[in-house]
Amino acid sequence: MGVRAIRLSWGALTVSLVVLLAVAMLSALGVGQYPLTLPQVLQMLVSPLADGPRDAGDLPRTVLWQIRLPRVCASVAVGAALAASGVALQSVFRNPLAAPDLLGVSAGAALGAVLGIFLGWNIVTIQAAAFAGGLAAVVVVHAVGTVLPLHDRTLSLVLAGIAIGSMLGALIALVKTVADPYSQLPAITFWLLGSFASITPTDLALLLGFGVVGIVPLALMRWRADALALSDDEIHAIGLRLPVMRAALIAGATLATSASVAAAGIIGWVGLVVPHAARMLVGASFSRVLPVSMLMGALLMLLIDTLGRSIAQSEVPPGVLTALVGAPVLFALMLRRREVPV
Amino acid sequence: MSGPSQTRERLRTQELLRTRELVFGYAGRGLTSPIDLVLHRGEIIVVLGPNGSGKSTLFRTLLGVLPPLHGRVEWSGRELSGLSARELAMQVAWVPQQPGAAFDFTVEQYVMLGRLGRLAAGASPGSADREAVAQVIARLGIERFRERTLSRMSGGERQLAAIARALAQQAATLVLDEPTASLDFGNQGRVLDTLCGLSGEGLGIVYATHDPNHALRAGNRALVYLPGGRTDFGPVADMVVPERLSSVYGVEVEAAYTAGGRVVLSLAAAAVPVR
Amino acid sequence: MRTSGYSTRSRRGFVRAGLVATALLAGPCARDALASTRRISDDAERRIDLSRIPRRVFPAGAPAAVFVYCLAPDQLVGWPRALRADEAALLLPEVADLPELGRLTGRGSTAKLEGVLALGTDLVVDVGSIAPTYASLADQVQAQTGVPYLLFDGRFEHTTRTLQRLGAALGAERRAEVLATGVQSILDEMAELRAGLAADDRPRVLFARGPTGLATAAAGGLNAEVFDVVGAVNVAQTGAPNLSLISLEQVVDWQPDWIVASDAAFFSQLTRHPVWSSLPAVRAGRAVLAPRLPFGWFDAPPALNRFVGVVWLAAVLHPARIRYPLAERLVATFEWLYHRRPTQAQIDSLLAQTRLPR
Repeated sequence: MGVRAIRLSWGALTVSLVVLLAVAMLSALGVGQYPLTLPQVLQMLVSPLADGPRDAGDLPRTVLWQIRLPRVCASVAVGAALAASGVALQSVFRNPLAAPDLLGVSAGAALGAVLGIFLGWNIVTIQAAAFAGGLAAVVVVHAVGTVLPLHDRTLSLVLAGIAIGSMLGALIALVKTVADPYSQLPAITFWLLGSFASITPTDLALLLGFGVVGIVPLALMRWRADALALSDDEIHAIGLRLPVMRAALIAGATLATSASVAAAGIIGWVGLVVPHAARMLVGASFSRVLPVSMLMGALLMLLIDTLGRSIAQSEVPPGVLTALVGAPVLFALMLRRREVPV
Repeated sequence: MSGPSQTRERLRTQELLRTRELVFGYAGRGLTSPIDLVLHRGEIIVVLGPNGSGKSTLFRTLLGVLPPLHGRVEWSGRELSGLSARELAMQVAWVPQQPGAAFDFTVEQYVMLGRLGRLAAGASPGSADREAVAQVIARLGIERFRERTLSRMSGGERQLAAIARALAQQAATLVLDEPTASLDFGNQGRVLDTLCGLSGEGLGIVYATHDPNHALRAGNRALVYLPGGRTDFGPVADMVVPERLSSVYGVEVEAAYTAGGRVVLSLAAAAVPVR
Repeated sequence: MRTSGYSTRSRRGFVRAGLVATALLAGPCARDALASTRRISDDAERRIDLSRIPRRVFPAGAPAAVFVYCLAPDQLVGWPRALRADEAALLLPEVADLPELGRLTGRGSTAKLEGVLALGTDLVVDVGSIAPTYASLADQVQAQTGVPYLLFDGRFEHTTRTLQRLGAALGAERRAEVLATGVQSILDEMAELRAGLAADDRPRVLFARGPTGLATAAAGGLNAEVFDVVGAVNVAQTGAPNLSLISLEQVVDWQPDWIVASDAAFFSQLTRHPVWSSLPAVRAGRAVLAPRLPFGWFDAPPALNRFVGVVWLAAVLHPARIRYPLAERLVATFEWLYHRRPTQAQIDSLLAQTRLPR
């Protein structure tokens, strides 16, 4: 009885999530400081091309196409990317408490951005530095974790991630010490808190591009990834190559997360909590948890960003809201969780 | 001999596994003297030895996880090191001692894991895979657990699910590490009978057990670990006898006969009388 | 009868010379002696006894460094951060070369307390917030090092009073008066300007800080005080205490008349950004970059240097009402504040960087 009640029909759940997401995105387009009504939004969406050359003074059109639509799409994309990364890393590490920044991608991206701010680069270069920093951090962690002579490969990766993540955090703190307290330090603080406030259509295009590239290996492996839940020997005996699978999942998760952090700063908890909730709804199979997590993550991030830009006159950083929401939700989920024998 | 019976004869004597002077262990230290064993189709090899003697290490070497220190392992006549992961998966399937998974799969999802080695990148399991899973679940009599998750099953039920998963792989040989270790008396018998049935269908089986009686119930040949790192391989009738077992386990073993004429092995009278 | 080799007249001359010499020597000592054990009261109502004019003054942070430099540059021992070449070019060279000390307070301390003692510091000066946190920090440092520590209010409206009090502590009362008079005259000038402005004549300004331009200083906060003085309206009425993050949408909604940027990289791409470039302010060229030489003209740090920003921004926002020629006025202001007259070329190049490229 209990089993059936929790496991909703997967197909029905996915379809309803997609519909819910579409409705939520439309509603979010009607929210904002600039007064735009929903009928106006719908009308502008339906007729994207203005009659004649685009009047630069056409404010409603600018607000919708240049500000709100990229922002709404970006929050959806980041939510989906972070949730997918969480699913992938939880699979690789056989642990439902793994999060996308376990291997140091957030710390590496943060260091890249913080250095960029300290050296006075423009915002595009700062974002590129963040992206590169995130990738570089994981490459180093993977190399160190592979070289460590520990019997358990996943444990050595986790240890390398923790160690290198701390080192990167220390370097960030060092930069904050020498940064100018009036001009650079506030910019560093705001960047670390995260924000969707300055997303342009170009940012969105890059985010989608890299995000999709990162999700592709996850999608290709959505069935075989389940085998990672077994012991190393069993995976080998089934005929799968564990190192290749692990590397592919980590690479995909890192690309998606790096792109997200470069676009919107550090946002935690989504990659940890959403896969948990998805597993409770549709069971443990990666092929189901991945799409459901992505949809739920997209919804969550959209809700959080819409809240963050409308509950106060100034922006509430999304990272703050996800932490305030995520921690209690995680506790609630864990209280209902059963022990799984490993 | 006529054609079909010749084929049958050849099939029956087809070699699934052969080791030549195999020495296995860690860090250059062999755990036993060189082992020569052969497994044919429809045969069961039982591995007997005291705790910590290296039964699991032997299995890891046979499966290619650990490289042999000396000698060769051959699956269906082909050297182990020359087999790709997928080819090896078609030769042998592995059932670990205490099966479990990091995530709470249903039995159906868990058994499907055995089919994943055959999937191409991006492919989903097809009807052939689903049919194989259903067949195997029926064969082992665990249909009523199909939708149940692993965490809600007993150790014995999980063991059967693990055997089903290995069977779903459709390999020629099954290797099981102490499959009866955490089972109750009744379930032990059931698993052993299942193994007998599977070998009757042509599967080759290698399993380790701590109870020599199991070898008598389900086993054709036995590999026994003797003190000093020596091993012996031969028919169960020769190997699983009180004199040899006494030196294997270092205790007095005696044989008894049931009313039905079956042999039962047990420990001799305790050295210290129980008050 | 002969008493010595010297005649009476020459002896009297010696005595007279000796008395004059003693009087000359005693003068400064007397002045110091008269100034001995002055009781100085700082803005956190802490009372410190100074026994003589402090010759070696340690600035606890950047605002204090600016104040001490302007009041008594030869009494400064160093800077919180070593000055860059372009900053030093506008200051007295021998003072600009002084070593880097680190920050003693505010947003994390990087100065070593031992360094304070090693330099033979007579007095530590801090200008900024006088909240109990900083007052207790002052007491703590003073107790640990034994060096007197004075804390003054850094808010705009208290500039004159801070100048006078700090000037008294440093023994630079005359210079303090010169500065205070100049500051007051600028403030009076601005008050007159504001009086002549009708409510809708006040230009609406956005202070676009940071590399994204979206970290603004809210109205009423410390970093935006300059705007109120020059009769502008800060569009960022977000209710935040000081710095806060806003969104592009808010910027579009506010439609500011003027944009003041603080980050050069952000400013240089203003005309290429899809949203910023569509704002009427940017299209009409009403966007400026606040210079930062030798100290930020607006808020980095928030100290005496802001008066340069006042003079400049008033001319930028109200060209019709301001009658002084900007470049000459800036030269004079720099000389009056920073003890060094910049060349016309230096001022012109500073002004050129403030404008959007054509």
